[in-house]
Amino acid sequence: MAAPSRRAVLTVLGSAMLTGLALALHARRAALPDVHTLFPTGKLRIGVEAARPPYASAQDGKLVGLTIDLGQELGRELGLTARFVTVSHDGRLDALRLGHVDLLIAIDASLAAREADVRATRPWFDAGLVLVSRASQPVHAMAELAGRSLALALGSGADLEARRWQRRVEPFEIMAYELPKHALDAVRMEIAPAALVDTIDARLHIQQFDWNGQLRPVRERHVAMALGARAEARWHVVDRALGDLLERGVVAQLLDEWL
Amino acid sequence: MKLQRAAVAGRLIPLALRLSVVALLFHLLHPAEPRATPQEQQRVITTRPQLCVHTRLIDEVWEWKIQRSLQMVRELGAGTIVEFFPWAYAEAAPGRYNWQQMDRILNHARNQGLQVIARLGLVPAWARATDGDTGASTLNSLPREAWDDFARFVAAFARRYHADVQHLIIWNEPNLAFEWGYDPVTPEDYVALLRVVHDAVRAASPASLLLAAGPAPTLEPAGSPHAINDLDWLEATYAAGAADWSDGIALHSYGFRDSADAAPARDRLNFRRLELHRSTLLQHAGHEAAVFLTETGWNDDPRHDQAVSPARRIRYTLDALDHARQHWPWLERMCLWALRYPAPAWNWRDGYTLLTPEFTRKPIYHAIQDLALGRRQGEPLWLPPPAAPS
Repeated sequence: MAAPSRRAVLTVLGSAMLTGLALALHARRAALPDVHTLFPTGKLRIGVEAARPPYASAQDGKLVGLTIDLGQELGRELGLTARFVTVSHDGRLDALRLGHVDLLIAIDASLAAREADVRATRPWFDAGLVLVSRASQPVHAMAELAGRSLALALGSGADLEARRWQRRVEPFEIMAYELPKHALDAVRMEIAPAALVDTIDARLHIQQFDWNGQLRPVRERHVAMALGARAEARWHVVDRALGDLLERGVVAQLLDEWL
Repeated sequence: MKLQRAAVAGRLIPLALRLSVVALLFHLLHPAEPRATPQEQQRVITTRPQLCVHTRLIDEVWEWKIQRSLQMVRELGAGTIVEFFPWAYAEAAPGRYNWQQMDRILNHARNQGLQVIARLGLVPAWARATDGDTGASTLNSLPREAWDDFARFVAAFARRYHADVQHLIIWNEPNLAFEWGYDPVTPEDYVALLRVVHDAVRAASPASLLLAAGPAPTLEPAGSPHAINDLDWLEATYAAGAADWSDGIALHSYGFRDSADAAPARDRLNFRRLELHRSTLLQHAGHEAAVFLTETGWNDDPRHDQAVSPARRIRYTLDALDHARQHWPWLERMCLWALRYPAPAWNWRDGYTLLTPEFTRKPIYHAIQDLALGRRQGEPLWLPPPAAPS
């Protein structure tokens, strides 16, 4: 019998290692404790800042908003009852560290990455800046603005971003309005070819006035959930549940409902 | 054969050693820190002596950024800053002080001709209270057993910096549970802490002036676990003798969604709530305490429901500075929160700054500068709302 070639041996060994790795990862995933062991009260305490519509706000003593609906969906996905705890901006990370809440539902992913004892899930929304133009006369990128004008809100993040771009691309004129909605009106009314605003303003305006706007991302700003870094098993189950909600389009549906 | 190997090894080993030395030298090479040498002594030119800004320099890594920030305070036309000097940073081990970063800040502030009001707080790990069950704590967890330690730190700070810092704010927004690591606190407790600190500072640096920390503006209902209403807090602390153990007060009053001239009311948070704070002091302190407004301003985050547009923020801030000058001669300083953060907060707090972390001036910076330097005002900064073509 001929000896197996070196290539065949390496192929078999490589396949075995990959299979082993996949099995180990699967075993780790499968070995996560039961959700009710991780959350023995059956409740998922979700920290929300209640002054940030459309994420969350109080109306007639009741919390409403995108993150409230998302929290309810997450609770259902995990088989837990969602309980919302209002937290202040200053106190929200301490509330997580002290275990007053199990998770924060909307936190900038960049901030979470900077905090040693906080761990962010996968992002569930990009709230960054977008270039908005009429679909009939699309502007695809900031570089296409050369010699044209860009509408935005004075002093906004878009204003700062546009001034950075003015140093990078051929000159364009900035039309500074008081509010993002005025900048978007300027595009809708064909006064300006494009506006730079954040994703939420853009989506709300297009929804409200039912016009055919085109959105192109200019600067990303990812929103994620966050848990205490020591609660590793909890992080895994929450992140997995969020992944399932994203995959099934539940998050996209909520975004469409609210924005 | 052995001889051949030995000869090869004899050539390779010195070569490897030389390469290692070169690699080590490359590893040790790194760009020099940008220099931050003091300038010729500067002075602030302004028409607004009340104007002050709250800085956040203590977490700044690069000294040149501290210097640049303070230059931009001076260029703004503000003669005073409020800066945070955390106990946890200065005394990481009991009795062993590290003043390096604080020295840097104060040296550059002096060089720019700025006055400094110091806010003191944050508890080092060795002095902190921890949760009995979880062992968790926050930087604000101050057990009563650590009050003397905190007072010793404040006294050491006052003694060291008496030439540069006259006013010391003791703690921050003490009516919030968060500011005490979510431990319960009462107005009486805060006054007792103030007394302990007062005695230590008087002995160490008699010329230093203590400012009671002002409460956070809040309409929290009675019995709330989160906070005590700011007016109730002031009444209670001054009834408990706060005036005896302080030389004034550092108040906070934000504009939220109201304009600068909106009338104050007990059930409304706005800029002129400061007038209610002062009435409370006059009523309870028994004498006119020195009043510093050490946090104020409007927020222009697009997603915060207590924010206004950046354009309105500019208008209201300029109006507020005018209001303070015309109607509040008793106000020592009006400090805007905040000049700049070392890094983005990635949240609505970024809507309070005048500069980005990269030192880009926001339009509000230019507007305040124009006001403070007495430059021409009045040209509209933004376009009118677009109208559909008729």
